[in-house]
Amino acid sequence: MSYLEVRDLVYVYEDGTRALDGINLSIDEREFIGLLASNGGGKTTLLKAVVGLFKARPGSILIDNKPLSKLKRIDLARAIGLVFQNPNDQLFASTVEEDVSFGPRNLGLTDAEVEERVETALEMVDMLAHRRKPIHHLSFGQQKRVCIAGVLAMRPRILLLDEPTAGLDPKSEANLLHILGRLNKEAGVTIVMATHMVDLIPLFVDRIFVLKEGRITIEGTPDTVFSSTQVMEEVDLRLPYITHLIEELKHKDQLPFDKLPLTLKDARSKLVSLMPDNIFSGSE
Amino acid sequence: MRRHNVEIFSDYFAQRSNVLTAIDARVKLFFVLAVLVLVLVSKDLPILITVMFASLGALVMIGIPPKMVLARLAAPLFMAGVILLLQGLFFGETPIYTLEAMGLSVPLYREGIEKGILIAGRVLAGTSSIIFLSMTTPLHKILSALKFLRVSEEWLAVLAFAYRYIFVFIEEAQSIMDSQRLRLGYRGLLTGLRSWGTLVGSLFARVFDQAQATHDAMLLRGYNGAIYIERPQALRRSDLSAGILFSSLFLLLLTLDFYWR
Repeated sequence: MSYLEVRDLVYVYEDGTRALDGINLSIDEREFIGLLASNGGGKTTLLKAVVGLFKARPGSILIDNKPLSKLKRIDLARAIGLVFQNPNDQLFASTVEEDVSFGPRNLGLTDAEVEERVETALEMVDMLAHRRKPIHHLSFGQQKRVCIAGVLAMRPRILLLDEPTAGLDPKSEANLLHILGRLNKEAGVTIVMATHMVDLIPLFVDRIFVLKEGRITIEGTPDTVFSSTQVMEEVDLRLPYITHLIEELKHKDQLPFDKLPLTLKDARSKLVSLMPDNIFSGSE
Repeated sequence: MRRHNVEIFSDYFAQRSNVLTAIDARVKLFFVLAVLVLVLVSKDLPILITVMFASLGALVMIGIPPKMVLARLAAPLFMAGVILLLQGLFFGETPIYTLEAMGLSVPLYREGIEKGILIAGRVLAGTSSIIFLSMTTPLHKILSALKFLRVSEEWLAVLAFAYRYIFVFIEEAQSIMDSQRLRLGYRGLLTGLRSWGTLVGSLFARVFDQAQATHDAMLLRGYNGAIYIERPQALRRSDLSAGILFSSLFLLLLTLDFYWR
């Protein structure tokens, strides 16, 4: 049985926009899931429905086999955490440690337990050195990491992230994704990341759900989802740049690729294997 | 422009490490509250001037640029000027100077000016001592000290929220204004007024959106109506020494006030 199960979920905004239109998905523990969609595809609405901020009807959401509507708020907070896209939505306290300690204190933990959780969560996102800093003195990337720490300190079994890399420079983006990868692989946190960033996602996720107009149109491993340009164009997305290049080489230059590589590392090893041996030893 | 606006309100200097920031917030808070009471009851201009220069001088001595100190004092200075002028224009009987403008003669009265100087002095001395506190103490430490004084936690939470989001909304207002300015939104008086009205309206809408989003995020982290304010740590020997020094300074001011009266 999956840890998170969404069945036939529908959500219609007051203006009649059908943001979710019969969503079905199931997520197991320790999985790293990518929720891929172009703008307005329904990613944020789905995340907010899963944490109970939007009451989606009809349809049902089961967390650990219990209906979401039957869970107490405190149990829901222990089960699932959402990191908002805009750090200002989430970070309200004066200092980093005050903000991160907010959730654990609401769980009724002792001061020592709160302190331990704050320290561990900040360490996980490499922000321990900044614990006494005021929030408004942090860079945007640091604020994002504190947001994640604030949710991690609740020790949820699933961490949902709404466009965690939006607005970050390439270095901070890669840094953040490595932190998430580490959380998933080493700490065993189940991660669901909503994004439209196709270039880095194949490096980390186990499965991808592609949303278009409130429906899941493709589902599967990165290899399945990024199988061709045509498939991606149908959902208003694109292939990772490196995959697109290899696809062009395959179709326009007839280079013999059986499977499209999704990462630089894979593409490099494929290309190297196709090159004649003497190309690497200069003029010899 | 944006950076400047934010820096005026920022507690950047309070976060630095120096002899004044190291003192416990309760010691500074008690001292400033006592000085504020003195400023309110004192009728001696030299006392008010001493408080003002001592507060601002201490800030300059710990390395805060005088420009930044003056920038913080700019608004109260303007208010003090307005108060002085209004008192001089409307209160008193003995004209000391007559302003001539557009065929009108407007006298300034001695009694009004004297009273205005006293009120302006109180405004400047009071705000200087508060600037002293805010530029040497981060807000979360002031909140802890206020908690120690048994100030209601609801008030402290409101204060904490205001402090956290003031920077967000200053940036937001500045972005809207920049975008309006780039599209000639402040070209003339009427256009400017219209743009200003739109800015204020948009800002209100964003404040409500922000409040909703923050509340949602807090609920997801188990918010139950309480915001935790850190308890102050035990006073150290250096804090007690600072307390003794501040008390002596305060007694000196009281004595001077008594003799000068």
